Amino acid sequence: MRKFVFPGEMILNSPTGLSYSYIENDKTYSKVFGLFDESSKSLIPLKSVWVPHIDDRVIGTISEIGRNGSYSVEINPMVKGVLLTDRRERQKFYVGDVIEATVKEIEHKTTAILERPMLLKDGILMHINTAKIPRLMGKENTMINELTTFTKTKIAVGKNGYVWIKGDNAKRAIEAVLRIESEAHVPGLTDRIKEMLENEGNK
Amino acid sequence: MASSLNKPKLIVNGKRIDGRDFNELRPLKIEAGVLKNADGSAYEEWGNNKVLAAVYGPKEAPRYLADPEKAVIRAKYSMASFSGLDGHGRSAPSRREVEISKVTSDVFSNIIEVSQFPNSVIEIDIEILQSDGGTRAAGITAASVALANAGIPMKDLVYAVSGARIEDKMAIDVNMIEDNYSDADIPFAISPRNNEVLLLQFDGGVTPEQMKEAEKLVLEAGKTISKIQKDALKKSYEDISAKYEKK
Amino acid sequence: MRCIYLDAMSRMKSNYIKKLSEEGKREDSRNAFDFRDIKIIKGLIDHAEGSAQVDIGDTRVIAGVKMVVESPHEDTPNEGNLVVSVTILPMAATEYESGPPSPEEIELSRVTDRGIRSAVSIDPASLFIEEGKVWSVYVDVYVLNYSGNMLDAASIAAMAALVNARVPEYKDGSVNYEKRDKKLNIKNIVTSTTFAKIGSSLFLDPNENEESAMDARLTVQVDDKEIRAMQKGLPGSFTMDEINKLIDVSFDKHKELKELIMK
Repeated sequence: MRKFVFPGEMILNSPTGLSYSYIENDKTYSKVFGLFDESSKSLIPLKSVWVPHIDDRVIGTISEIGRNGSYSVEINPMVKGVLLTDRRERQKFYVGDVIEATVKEIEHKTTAILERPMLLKDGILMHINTAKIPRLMGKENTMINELTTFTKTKIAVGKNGYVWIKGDNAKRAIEAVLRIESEAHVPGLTDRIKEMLENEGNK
Repeated sequence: MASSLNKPKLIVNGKRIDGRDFNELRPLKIEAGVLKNADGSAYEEWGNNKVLAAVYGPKEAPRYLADPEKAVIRAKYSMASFSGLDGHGRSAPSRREVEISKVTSDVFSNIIEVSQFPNSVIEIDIEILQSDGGTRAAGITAASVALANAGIPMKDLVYAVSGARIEDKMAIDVNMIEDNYSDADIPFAISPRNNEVLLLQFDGGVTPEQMKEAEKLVLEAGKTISKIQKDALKKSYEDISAKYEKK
Repeated sequence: MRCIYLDAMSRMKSNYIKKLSEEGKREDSRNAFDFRDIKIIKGLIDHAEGSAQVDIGDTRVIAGVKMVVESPHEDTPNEGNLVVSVTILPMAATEYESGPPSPEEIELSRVTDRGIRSAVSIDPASLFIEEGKVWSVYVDVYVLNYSGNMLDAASIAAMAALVNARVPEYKDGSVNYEKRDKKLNIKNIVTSTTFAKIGSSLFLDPNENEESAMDARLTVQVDDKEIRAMQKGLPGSFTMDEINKLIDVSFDKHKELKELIMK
């Protein structure tokens, strides 16, 4: 059974290392407003602040080109992205380009060193609540695969909340993404999204 | 404090000037997520107080502010020029507003998991659109909901409310007239998980017994306030759930 | 300092807006001279003599009127004062911070004030109380959420709050703010329309992405008969024909805006 929990609410009588929780006097408390599942002991925030982890795939915009061939990448209001490239290499990106890249290292929690960049050309960029990114991906990427198959769009998803969509059906894909964002807490999401995509596909 | 010459009678037939009992809160309503751009927000009506709170961040702190160990909490409390019944407020922040901003920042620096976000700043904007006594408490109570609505990790969902001495009686949640003429106004901010006090300001005169009575009234009222805060956070999610349960 | 800075993300968005505008299209598929949805709620601040909250799309502003007894200016001993000002609150967008007003905010405030004052929406003589005493009417507009076109939102809110205002009772040298029986006499309604020029396309009521892409901006404020104030902004230019066309649109829009304000 899932229930709403709030910051400061005791969720377990024993100390545990659950994400989004803290321990005080040998008991576990929630740090966030979220949903707690007592049987599986999982705490899912309904909204969250993204902090970078190594290997996170993120989406950002080139904001500055450094003299040494590095790029500043806007990925988040708190965390700066820096993409290092070989100085002898020809300039690959321009200011305003949208790229997808992987977090290689994190410095002082506020700078993410990025690698393996890929240019995302044209398309539409949107931002959603980062707590919903796992739902948008689905178990083993099932949700996102379904979305791209049905709408015949290209979609890239960044852990930092940015979603990039390209294709003639981009509008439909955007609608589906927004619906996943707002309804992720209601059981039966996968079926509803599937139904929505199938129905529209028949139109 | 206003002159005692035209002091109105604050207790009439054993009730307060607005007909309330001494332990009775004014009507309180909170709505979460009312502003589009902010990362979290709340609108609150508490008696005749009307308050907006908005949260931005965590975002990169300007260099002069940045702390490599933790996030800096910057609360800004201000009153709209038309918020009072009398006269027209001026726009420059008053010393009162600066002080309230400071003590509000202190409350939330305690409760937010600041160590998770070094070199960043979390901004809390509190705007009093209409004031009717107890606005600093109202601001903190609304800001708390806005922070949870923004997904900022915190140790607790803080609430705030004023205790007061009206003549020889202790009371909760004073309105503007009571605030102006009461013998002591004692705003508290409380962390409800352990009932620790995060804000306490007061001048006037109370006995230690009266203070204990005020504390009791605050904790009792806090149960109601906490529930309203939580209901506000749940509301939009429950509304979406209800849409599917009906079918 | 308050400022809107053009970050990389909005540069990317503005390229997209520019590309759309080449085909005369808008991001939210509005027609060129359509406003976004406009919602007005009047009288929500009972402590103020008049108030109104206005939403244009996601832009939200709130205006309040306060009336104060003051001494008249020496050169106009029989006239009261009307002062309109606009403040962008830090909560309006992540780019806004508290501090002294930016040139942008001062322009916003002054243009809103000029349109309403030049249309003599309140006859200054009707604000006269007795010798040496006049009403000063302060209309303060706060921007709560920024999503483009603060100017029209501020102007509509200021007018709607004035229409909503009631005069406090003045007796024996003191004001009773709890007794407000008489409506403030508003003689004329002025409305504001702001246009963005992107490339060679003209759009009414730009949203925030269109504002970051626009080359030039024109605000036209009119009443039933006359143009009351205009303000051109940004480095881009307009042709005379364009200006004349936008004036026509402004008079067209005046009717529906006036109806909304009076309702």
